[in-house]
Amino acid sequence: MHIPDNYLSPETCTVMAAAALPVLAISIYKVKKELPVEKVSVLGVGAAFSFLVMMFNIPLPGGTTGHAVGGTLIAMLLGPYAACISITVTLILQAFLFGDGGILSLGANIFNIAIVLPFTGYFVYQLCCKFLRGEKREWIAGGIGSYIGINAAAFCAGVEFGIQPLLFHDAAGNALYCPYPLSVSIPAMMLGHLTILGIAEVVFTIAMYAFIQSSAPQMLIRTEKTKSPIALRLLLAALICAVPIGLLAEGTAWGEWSKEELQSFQHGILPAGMQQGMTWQAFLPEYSMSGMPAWLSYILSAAIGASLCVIVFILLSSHGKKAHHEA
Amino acid sequence: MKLDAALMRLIAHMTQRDRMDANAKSAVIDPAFRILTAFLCVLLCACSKNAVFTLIIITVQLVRLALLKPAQIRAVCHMVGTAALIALFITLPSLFYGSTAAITTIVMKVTEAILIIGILNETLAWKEITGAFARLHVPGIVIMTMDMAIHFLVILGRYCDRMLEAVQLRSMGEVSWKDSQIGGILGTTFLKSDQMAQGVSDALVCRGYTGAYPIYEQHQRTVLDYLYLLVLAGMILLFIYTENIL
Amino acid sequence: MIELKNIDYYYDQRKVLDDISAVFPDGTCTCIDGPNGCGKSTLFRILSGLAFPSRGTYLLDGIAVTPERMKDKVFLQTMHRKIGYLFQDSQTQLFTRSVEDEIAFGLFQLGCSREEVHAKTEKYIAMMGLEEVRKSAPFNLSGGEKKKTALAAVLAMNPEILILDEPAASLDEDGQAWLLNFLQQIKAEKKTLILATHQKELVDAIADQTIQMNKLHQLVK
Repeated sequence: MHIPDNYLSPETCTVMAAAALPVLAISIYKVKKELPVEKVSVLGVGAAFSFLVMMFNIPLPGGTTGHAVGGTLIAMLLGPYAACISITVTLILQAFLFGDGGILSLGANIFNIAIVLPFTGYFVYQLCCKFLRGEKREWIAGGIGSYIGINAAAFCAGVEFGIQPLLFHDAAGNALYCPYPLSVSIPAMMLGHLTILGIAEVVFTIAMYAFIQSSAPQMLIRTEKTKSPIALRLLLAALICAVPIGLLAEGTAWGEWSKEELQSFQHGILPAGMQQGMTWQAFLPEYSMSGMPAWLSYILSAAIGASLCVIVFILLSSHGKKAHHEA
Repeated sequence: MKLDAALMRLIAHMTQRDRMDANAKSAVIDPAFRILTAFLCVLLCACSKNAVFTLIIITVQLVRLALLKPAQIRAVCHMVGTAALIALFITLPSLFYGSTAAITTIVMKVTEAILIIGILNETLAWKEITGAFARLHVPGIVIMTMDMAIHFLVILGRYCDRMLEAVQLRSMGEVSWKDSQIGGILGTTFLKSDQMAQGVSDALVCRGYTGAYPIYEQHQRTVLDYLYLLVLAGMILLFIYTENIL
Repeated sequence: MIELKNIDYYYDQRKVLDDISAVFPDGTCTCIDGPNGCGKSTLFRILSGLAFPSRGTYLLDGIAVTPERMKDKVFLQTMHRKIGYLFQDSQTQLFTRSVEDEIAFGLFQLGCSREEVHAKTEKYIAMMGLEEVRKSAPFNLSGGEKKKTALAAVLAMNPEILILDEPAASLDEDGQAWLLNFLQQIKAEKKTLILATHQKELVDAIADQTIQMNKLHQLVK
């Protein structure tokens, strides 16, 4: 679910970061207020644990494996605010140290995986605990919460992808970022998470929770059942709805108006050249090398060619040295 | 077991990097400036509406990559190659939506972004990266959590790895996922992580922790750092020029 | 001076310490021995203020150490400056990014200036022979290096009382010889030492008094 760079526009990334920041700030505030100062270790360990969880593939029916995020489980064990900070730190480390997920899109990833997932999952878990009965109610509640949590996060990611071609395209209508509209991006994201990945998340959450409940039940009693305040839930819901509205403020990229738009700005007048000009659907319309001075193209090609040759040579020779040593 | 191998690779990568970084010289340029420049570079490329700026950045990064050590080049090429292939795979269906430009645009931009982050990662130690965040006024609790996360990732990873080894030793032949007791392994790891968190809390109390987390070695800014800012300015000017904003 | 009067400690309704009374005079070295699980580590946790007795009194220089007293930030800081506690498992005691940062951490928390922190950190790095690993992360240190780093981090805060839980554990022969020599130096500085150890050589070399605990979590008279 980690969104790499350049699939979302910088505007989207900025809006998502702006949406994530207040929730992060509230989480830091809450954690500082509720946890004693030395319990910061819980966050560090939580982040490391969350990292490890994301490495684990879960065996699923049909011989496939799925990869869990564990956000809801971490929220059930540490509380949603601590989970938010721990998962945020994991995402930052993954982006900067392992190149997993972009740095521009960090805000969007934090919003989806560190905020929507654990808070939604935890909220649903608490709600289910209230209405379900029986010894295993927490397992079932955790399973439902984690399933809904991961799918809510996937849905948000799908929306973020899907609005890109709608809002960010050139005059020819070509998408500048993710090219798939909502009708494609949402089903594509949801299909995987409603099935394999959602099941992986449920299996993981229940298996871990059951194990801890049987081996160290005092841990579950000790972790507070923090109630997400109504205000925070409303804020989250409002933020989720406001994201597309905020982005609608962006119009077509400056200087890249269509003939019709330009005509409307120019009081119905369109330059003659444009009236009779060709409309050519180029393969690389606005992102092409045409228009670049010849000297620049030459220098760039030479530099790229030379660097690639050096890199290939270095890799080949170091591979040769390794093979020679092994022989 | 594949997971055991993956864990061992992760731990080996982190411990080896730390050993190399511990023996390396301190950063010449302020890591905070380098991170800011990297971030701005990725942002400007994302904002660019034509290929010129992105190509120039890719060229510069390839030249920088060519000057690194073979192991570093291999690591960055692996990251870039994987990301670019995945980008190509994801965007290929857009041919059916008439969005052919998306393929080249996204693949080019993904290549550029991962090149920048990969080179940054290979040329800066993780301590310098988290230290740079401290200079960029990220709250101390976040920096401390990051440092502790890396520390515990290795320790818990080793612990988990030993349990996986124990499962393998107790089994005959290949261990299938069903028999791997993954719930038990992760559950025990979580309980261990809780014990360790408690231990660290005690250690913090004993050292009179007040909430502050200063870094011992801070990069002393020199003329070179301020000259480096000219690179930042130059990049912005180049962006403006290539986007024909002026 | 530390005084313990009729200390009981319960953990999960299980008695872990039973009627412990002892005095640890200033400048002396006390070695505590006992089988595994007799309560030595719990006793140390009480001495360092990490836990509080279920019954009885703990007096530090005549002042009773209670949860209420520990809420006073000034007393808390004074106590943690006065008492240095080396854990049995050094791994848990190390949590920062490098050996330098570990040693400097406590000094920064005490409010020392950057110059003072640098001077003391360099002193202890040299004293413990940690120059080659000064920038290494704690997870990359050997058992002996971890022990030395944890010891340096504790000593840098200049405690008057040092509590050491099995300091020779995970040390090889050379490490143990080094430790003995080091503890003799610390003793010469008139610090109060309280150690848990099974090592007879160590006890014979430095102990001014020995305390024996039994499986019933009591002191053997």
